Amino acid sequence: MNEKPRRYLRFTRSYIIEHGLLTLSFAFLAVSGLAQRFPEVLLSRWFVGALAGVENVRLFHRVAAVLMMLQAIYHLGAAGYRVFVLRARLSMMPGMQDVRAAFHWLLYNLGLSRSRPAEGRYTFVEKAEYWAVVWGTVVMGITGFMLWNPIATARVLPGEAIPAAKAAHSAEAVLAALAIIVWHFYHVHIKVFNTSMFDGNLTEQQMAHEHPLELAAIQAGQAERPADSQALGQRRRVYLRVYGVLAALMLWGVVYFVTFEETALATVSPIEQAEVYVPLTATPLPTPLPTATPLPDGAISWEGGLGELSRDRCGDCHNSAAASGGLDVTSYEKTLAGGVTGVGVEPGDPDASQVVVRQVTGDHPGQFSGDELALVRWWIEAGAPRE
Amino acid sequence: MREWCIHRSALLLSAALALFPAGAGAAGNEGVEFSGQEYSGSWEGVTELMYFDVEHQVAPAEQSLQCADCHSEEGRLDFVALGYDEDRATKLVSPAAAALPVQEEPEPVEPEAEGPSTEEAAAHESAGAREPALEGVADRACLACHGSPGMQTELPSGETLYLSIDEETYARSVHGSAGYACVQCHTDISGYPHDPITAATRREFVFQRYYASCAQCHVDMYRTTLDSVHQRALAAGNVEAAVCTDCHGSHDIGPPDEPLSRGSTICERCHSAIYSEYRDSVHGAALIDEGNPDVPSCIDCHGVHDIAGPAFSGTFHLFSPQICAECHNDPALADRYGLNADVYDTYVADFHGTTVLLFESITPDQDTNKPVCVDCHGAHDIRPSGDPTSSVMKENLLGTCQRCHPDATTNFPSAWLSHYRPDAETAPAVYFVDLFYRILIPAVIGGMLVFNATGVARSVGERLAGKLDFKVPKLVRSLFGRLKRSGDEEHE
Repeated sequence: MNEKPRRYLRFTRSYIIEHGLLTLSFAFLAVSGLAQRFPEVLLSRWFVGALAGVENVRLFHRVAAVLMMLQAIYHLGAAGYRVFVLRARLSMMPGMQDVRAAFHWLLYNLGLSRSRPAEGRYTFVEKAEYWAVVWGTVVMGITGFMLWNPIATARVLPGEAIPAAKAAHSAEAVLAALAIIVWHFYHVHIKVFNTSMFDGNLTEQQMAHEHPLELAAIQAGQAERPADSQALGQRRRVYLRVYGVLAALMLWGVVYFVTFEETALATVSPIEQAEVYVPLTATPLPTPLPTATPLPDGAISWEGGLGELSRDRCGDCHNSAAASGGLDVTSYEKTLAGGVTGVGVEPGDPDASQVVVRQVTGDHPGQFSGDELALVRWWIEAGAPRE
Repeated sequence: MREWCIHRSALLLSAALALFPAGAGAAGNEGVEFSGQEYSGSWEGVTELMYFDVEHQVAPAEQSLQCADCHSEEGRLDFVALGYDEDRATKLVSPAAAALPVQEEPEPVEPEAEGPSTEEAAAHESAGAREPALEGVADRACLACHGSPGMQTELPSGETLYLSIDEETYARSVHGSAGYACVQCHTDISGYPHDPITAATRREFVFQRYYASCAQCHVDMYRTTLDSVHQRALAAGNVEAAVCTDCHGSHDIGPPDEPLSRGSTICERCHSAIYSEYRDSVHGAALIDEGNPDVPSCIDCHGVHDIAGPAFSGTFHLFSPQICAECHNDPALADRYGLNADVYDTYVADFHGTTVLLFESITPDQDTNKPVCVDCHGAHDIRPSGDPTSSVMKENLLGTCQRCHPDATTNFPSAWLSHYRPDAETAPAVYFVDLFYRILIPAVIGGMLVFNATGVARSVGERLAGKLDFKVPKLVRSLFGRLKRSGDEEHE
């Protein structure tokens, strides 16, 4: 007997590449989509932060979506090649035998049946997953188009179709992600770690365990159809031409999908544009107009105006109560007497009168105006008359 | 503009004396001997003025030293070690010194005006202001001149600078009624004649004085203003930008919030165009016509001293939904006015709001082009619901959408569910899609889990008990017999 157990080719390189593309695009779509679906979750924020913002997340989500569309186009081509050129069995088609197999598995797992269900090339678990992916791709493709091109959608459908598409897109995403974790991970990674999608092969024992009907068919020589190389070449030429045209159309569809509309302007001027600085008419500080004490005309005397001028200009400090510096201008006599620095008024001699001397130096707090000071000088020169 | 000065010579000289007990002259001798230079042997002090920004040129301002970090009992400076005598050193760490850094001894001029009482001072402290140092110049001395009407001078710009004070107005103001003296704000005046006015314009005159006067007591307020749009505009060279006195006044400062609408009319002085929009809005009309305290006035959205706006702070737009949510996410307020309290949550759940939320948490320094509340509803001119001119009325909504989505057509606005959670009547398509998946997801995933659980149970059982072979009850066998048979047949 051969030492090395016989290995059966399960997946060609074409399948392995497809699976890789699907894994890559699905994983990125799921993570980047769910991060937007649950923005308040810490993990989402970590992911959005790692891509430096939600705009980048959206960009990558769309790049991954395009990758998945390309993968789908490739898959259609590869599946069509197998069906139309190689005339392979439609082994992925679901049927009643799959329903029976599912029940049989349940009974077997519960110990109600002694025998394991015998399945062919694709088990019911694999078929369920495959058609779930097909369903998900169609739903996500259609709703994704609506969300990507909401203005075009609203041209033909009611506006409400857009939030409905969003609800379907996000719920389907949750369903798909959970299905991958619960179904796919369990059956090919946890229950058994099935490496055939990476190395392409199963051992005879694995084949007998998982795909006994296919193994039996192979061993009976029924699986490999004798290839009529001439007919095969003919079919391939026809198929590749047809698919080439279809693929070109589908690629054009992807470009159409991606560039269908410009949904929103990148920059928009604010809804409200008001001039910020529009001052009300400048209002001057509420200061009363100057009210100069009217200069007396005619005879200049203490009673005839000088007394009033003195009280008005000097009386705040030099009054009976405060008598700042000893000077009190509330009476004629006290004004003449002056204060600590000397005689207040020396009749006939303004330069010997402190009321003038203190003013001309310019450092007295409180000043007569020029006219007022001239008047005071004049009064003193005239002998500082009382009346 | 906003500096306090320290007589640096006093500090330098004292330091020299502390380091060289033989005196500054001897220190000079030692110095020239060491450096080999010539020295006349005589020296004199030179008065230098050193200017500090109040934040000590430290940015951010919050991290700068405070006056009391040096000028207080616990302060970090040992003034005695610096050469001050005990008496002076005690003064330098007194509370008054903490409020106003090193100052010249005031000229003793008739100390008549009495400072506020201790109780008043305590009340003042609690209002966030420091107690100003009381210098000894009586208001009467100032009012001897400035009390007379019509006192004014002309500035080089040709503007008139009014110098008269209405004593009664000041007495009614917050400062006048608390007994603060003229020189407590006008700290640059300590005698007569005053230093000549160097300002060329009235604006410059204000800039020379306002911060030094206000900031000496209202330090926290002052520092808050450093983050405001006004301060940024000022820094960018706009001399019209508001400073303390532009809003609060000077000699007539009253409580800013009485009546309630006063704050907005203060803003109106410079922002009259925006005010007139606000005046007619649902918020403005309620505030100004009814005095309604529930509606926002200018400062409720823009802040008080750290006034923010879209012009100088890029994140104001991004974070503005939080401002609206403060009231519109409050069920009690929504209930009072019959408003929808779900507006914020439904916004965040939608594409626009999700984007804004993620920008806020991930890239808070970048604005987004996705709309926030004001981009659809308007900012200052928000209309009451039912107003035919409202930007979000059904008839006007398409136009509002088209501002960002220029190709949008009639059906497009109904893609937005108007802040309502979808139900069977308002949005049946959304509601039933949701319902479909609410049933489908648990059914599918639940079915998978149940199936997998049986598989797990089987393999665990096999591992535990070796080959599993137990008797199944007859009833169950007969129930499933047909299925089992068909399965077995298939196998065979």
